[in-house]
This record gives sequence, structure tokens and C-alpha cells, in this order.
Amino acid sequence: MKAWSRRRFLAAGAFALSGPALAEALAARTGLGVTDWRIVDAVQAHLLPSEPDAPGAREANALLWLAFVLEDPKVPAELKTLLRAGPARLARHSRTHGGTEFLHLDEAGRERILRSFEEDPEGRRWLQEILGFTLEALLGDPVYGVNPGGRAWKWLGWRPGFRRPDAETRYFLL
Amino acid sequence: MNGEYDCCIVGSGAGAAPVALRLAQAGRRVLVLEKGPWWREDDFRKDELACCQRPTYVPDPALEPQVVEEERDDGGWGRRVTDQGGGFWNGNCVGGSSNFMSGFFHRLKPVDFHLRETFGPIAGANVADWPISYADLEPWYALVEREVGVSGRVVAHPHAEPRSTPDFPFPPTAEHPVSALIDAAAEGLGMHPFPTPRAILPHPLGKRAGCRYNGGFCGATGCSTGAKGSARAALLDRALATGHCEIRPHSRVTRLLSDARGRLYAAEYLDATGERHRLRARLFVVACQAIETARLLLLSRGPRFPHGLANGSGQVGRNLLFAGGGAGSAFLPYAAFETDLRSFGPFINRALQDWYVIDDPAVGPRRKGGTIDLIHAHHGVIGHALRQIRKGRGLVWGKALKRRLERRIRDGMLIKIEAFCDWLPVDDCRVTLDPRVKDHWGLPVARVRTGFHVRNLEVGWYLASQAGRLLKALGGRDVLVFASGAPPTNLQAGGCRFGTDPAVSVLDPWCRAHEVENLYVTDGSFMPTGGSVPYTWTIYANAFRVADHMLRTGAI
Repeated sequence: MKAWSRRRFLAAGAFALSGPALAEALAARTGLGVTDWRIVDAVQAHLLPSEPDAPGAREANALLWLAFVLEDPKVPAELKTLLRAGPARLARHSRTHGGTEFLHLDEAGRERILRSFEEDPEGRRWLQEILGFTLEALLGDPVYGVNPGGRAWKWLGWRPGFRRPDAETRYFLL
Repeated sequence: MNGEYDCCIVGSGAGAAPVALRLAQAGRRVLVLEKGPWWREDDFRKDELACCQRPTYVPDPALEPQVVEEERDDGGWGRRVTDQGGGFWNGNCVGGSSNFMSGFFHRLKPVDFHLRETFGPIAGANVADWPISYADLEPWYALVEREVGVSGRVVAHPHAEPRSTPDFPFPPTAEHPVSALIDAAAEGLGMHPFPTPRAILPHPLGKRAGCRYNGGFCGATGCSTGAKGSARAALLDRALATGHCEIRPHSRVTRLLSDARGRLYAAEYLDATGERHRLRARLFVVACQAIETARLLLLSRGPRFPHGLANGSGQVGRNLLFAGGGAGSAFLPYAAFETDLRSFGPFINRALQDWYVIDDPAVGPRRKGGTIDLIHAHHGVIGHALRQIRKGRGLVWGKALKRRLERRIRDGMLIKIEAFCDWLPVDDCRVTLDPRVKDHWGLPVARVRTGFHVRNLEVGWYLASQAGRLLKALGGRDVLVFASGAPPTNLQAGGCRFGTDPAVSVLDPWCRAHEVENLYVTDGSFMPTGGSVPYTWTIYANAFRVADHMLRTGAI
């Protein structure tokens, strides 16, 4: 049953959404708030920005992937707790150290706050995990709804092996 | 099949499958109990999320943790419960971890069978000679080349072991363009590189297809064609075809039951629904990989065995072995080479055994050395990317990270070396039952103490340094070599030594328990010393040797 619900989640058509609309859709089903998701989206886009010839977090569907990760029974519970706590922690950090909301900062301001957040051991761990799952979305198999069209593979000249997973052999269905 | 079986085998990997095949071929009724699922070729995909980022092919760590004790810098012991991951499980499925091996196959050498006699004792290590010699095992190595399928090409080198056949039955798998460059660089340094034998079929054999060439993707992923010589593809599928072998996946053996005379009469196991069963058989074979084999014996107390099955000597779980050594890497920027190294698929397949015995006055008296394998960094691109996110103490992100990914993934290749030396058997490397932590089914979990002998580091460092010279001569950038005392969790042996003296060994020279006449242990547990190569070929060969002995002597 669980596998079915995860499969439906990935097939739910949420990929058509982006930015604020996606944050609202995710907030409705994950227990994190709209602002939390908007912060995650902004952080992912900062850590892995979009460029014309090189896809970034948003093209990789990284936000949706993180929402899936939070439901994935194969991700340790402790790690999920850390992932969930991060946005609020960063929001507080931004108010304390930057005097404003993270989402109101420009790119340079975000860089400054994230670098100072990195000095906090919890902040550093969260950033590292967010970056790790963002790279999973960037370079994972498109069958998971990430890395559409294998665009990041083409960018890096990387070739997948034989055989690639299909819908029925995704790891959570094995 | 129902009723009593001639033989019940616990586990289905490289130590189990040769016994299942030979006994079934001889018409014996064989039942294999495997705790994991039964995946086939179709289920195995080159999926980096599955193999390398999530616990897909190992048990759920929250349900089946282990306890790992690691030596701290201050000499004390740290204790870690692996309920969030990081356990020592490998390949929890039919065919076991052989599904996920890279298949770098080397034989032991004659010297490995009597290290103590050759080099004398080593303070702080429990080095023991084997009760058999290379000549006893050689025919079985040769047989594995044919039965499992080992591809390669014999090249003479100073430490090459004797063979009963002139060459491998299968030609080598296709080679990456860098292999020729390695040969030239190594020969320039007076080294003797040779093609690494692989348990991979270059072309179809029976129902198995040939290799589809995924380069450095074999390790950690199951083979989608059957070319890799896993216990499942190479042996169990044939055992099933005899009609005399049955495999029950999702069958978790919780203990072996022995009577007042000390004979085993049944295996108790839980099926996928948690229902308890008892399975009767005349003969029992345990092959669950070293750590879990020791755990199962320790869990199987009986009227004659208050301290665990076959453990009257207190030796079960002792002298656990991993593989010692070092490792290293070099980056090869494509633009720096005249040869086009952009080749995705063929293997590097090069090894060096010039220092299998180290005879170098700079390091002291002659001593045992080891093997160096030159290999692709694992092909998983997420893994490659994750290695780029750290610089010094900080994280790399933004466009700087993306340029780094381009340089390290798009514009060059990472080549690795693995140096294998003996993991010396020591008192502080052993398996016991943890007194506190239990698994989901209420059974005490394995507690693994992972102490190592400093000699592992010395030899590992020596070998890695030699490999470092080669990587530099090859034109590698960012050459990095190191030795490590950390146990490679996928290379396990020991824990139930074989030998002639029941006071200091668990098994006799035929891997039958000294104390239990109808119990054999046929995984890597029997090894008193590990040699300086990956274990799988030796495990296969020994299991065929033991199965033949069972049949010849009427043990079954």
C-alpha cells in the first residue's frame, strides 16, 4: 500500500507546478509550511543555480524530490527530522544574523547568510544533506521524476548503464 | 518438495551455492533457506539510488541493526548501533553478496597456506597455518574458472601461482584504452602488470548472457545479464534445474536445534509473515557470511552447547578477518592524454602482485605483502558529484560546484587503486552477541569488534605507495594514496577457523564442525588467515572441495 501511495505521489502531476504553487501543494501534504517549502526551494536554487547550458535544482525537480525523500521509508528517521527542522532554523538564523527574512534577501545576501549558517554545526549538516539530495535529483534516473530527459547526464557527458530502472523496478518497489 | 531433506543450507551466497549445486546434481534433496528476497536478472538495474544511496539490497537497519565497536584514538572502544545505517550487511537476497561483487578474482598463493611457518609468528597476531596446502585447493580453483566462469589471460610475473591448466577458459573482457597506458607506465618502472581475472563472462554461456560493459558499475549493483558469476546466476539456477533443490526466500533462520547427543535435527525459521517453522534435515550447512554465521552459531544453544553451537572451545566468532590495505586515486584529465580516454564501458582490469612477498631491506625482514588492483572509480555519477561538495572544512556550492562537476566528471576520469594485504587475525577483531541490542524479532544482534594490527597499515601503506608511483608515472593528477585500518565491510572471512586441533579451531580440515558431526560451515568463516586478495574465488573453491568430500565420504 505504501509503495502504491509513493508511486502515485511521483506520478501525481506535481511536476507541472513550480515555485509558489508547488510550495503550496507540498505544504498541503507534508506537514511543513508554505514558507518552509519556499525556503527550501530558494536554498536549492542557490546551491545549484540554473544556467542556460547546465541544469540546476529547479530543472531537476529537486523540490519535489525532497518532498518524496521525507516520505521515503528507506531514509533514516533521524535524517528526516533534521531535514524538516532546517527551514525554520534557517529562517531564525536569517532574522538574527541578517536582520531580515531569508526570502527577502538578494543573491549576495543569501550567500552571506548561508555561509554563516554553515558555521552552525546543525546548519552545516542540513546544508550538506539538502545539497546531497539536490544532487540526487540532478543526476538520478529520470524514472524517478528527476533529471528530466537525462539533461544533466548529457551536460556532464555521463552515460547510464545497462539496464536502467523502469517504473516497476524503482528501488522502493523491489 | 516436502518432508525431510537430505541437506538444509542456511544462506545462498558463494559459500552455499556450490554445495547446493553438487548435492542436487548427485540427487540429494536440498533446501536452501535465504532470509532475503529472490531477485532475478530483471530486477537488477543500474540504478544508483538503489545500489548506493538507499539500503535496498541490505536489511532495513532499523529492524536489523548490528553493534560495531571501533578503537578510539585514546585506545578505548567506541560503540555504535547501526540502526540508522552503516552496518556490515552485504547482499541480503538469493545469491547473497556475490550478486553485488565487482568480481576481481585472484587465487591465494602457496605462501598463504603457511604464513607462520614461512615468516614466523607476529607479536599481537594469531597467525595460524592452514591445515591444507595450495595443491589441495588448486584443482578447485581451476574448476571454479569453468563452473562460475572466470575470464582472463595468464601472464607470467614473479609471484604468479602455479596452475594446472595453461590459461583461463574464457578470454578477458574488453579493455579500456587506459589499460595500455598503465602497462607502459608500469613496465617503465620495472613492474609486472597483468590482466585482472574477472568473474564475468565476455560472451554468453548456457542461459547466461555475456557482459554488456558498464565499466565501473559492476560493484554494488546486480548484473542485468547474468554475465557476472554470482552464486545465483552461475550455480543456483543450475541447481534448481536438477529438480532436487528448493530455495525458500524470506526464510529467516533463528537457530539450529540440536539434541542431547549434540546432533542437529532441525532449523527453526520465520517466514515472510513472521510464522515460525521447523525444518528437519540430515545435514546442515551454514553459510551466512562470516559475521552472521558466527551469530547464528552463538544463538543456537542446545543441551550439549550452552555457549553456542560448536563453541565448546570458545572459538566461534574469534579471529574475524576483513581485508587490510590501502587505497588511492588519480585524476586523468582527458585533454592531457594523446590517447582518447573517453570510453565508457570496457574495464581497466589491471593488477600488480610484484610485492606479494616484500623483500625490501628498507622495510626489514621478508614479509607478506599483497595485491594492487587498478580499477575504475565506481561509475555512479551521484557519488562522483557528492565527492565534489567539500573543500577543506567548507562546502562547495553554486556555480563553483557546477564548474567542479564539469572538470571532474565531464573532462576526465578518476582511476583508483586498491591494495589488499592480509588482515592479521587479532583478539580484538571478533563477533559476539550483544548483551543489550536485539533485532526486530527479539534476537540479540551481532556485536563486531573491529580491532586491527598495525602491520596491516604498514603493509597497506607500502603497497599504496608503490601504486602511487605508478599513478604518477601514468600522468595522473591529484595522486592520493593512503593506508587504512577501517574494515572493508564487504570483505569478511574468519570467525570459525578450520584446523586439526579442536582446542583452537571450530571446523576440521573439511569444514565440518569438530563438535557437531552433521554441521558444515562453507562460507569464508573457515579461513585462519585471509591472503591478500578478495575472498570470493577462494570461498567458491573451498565450498566445491567440501561438497565433493561430503559426497565421497558418504556424509550425505
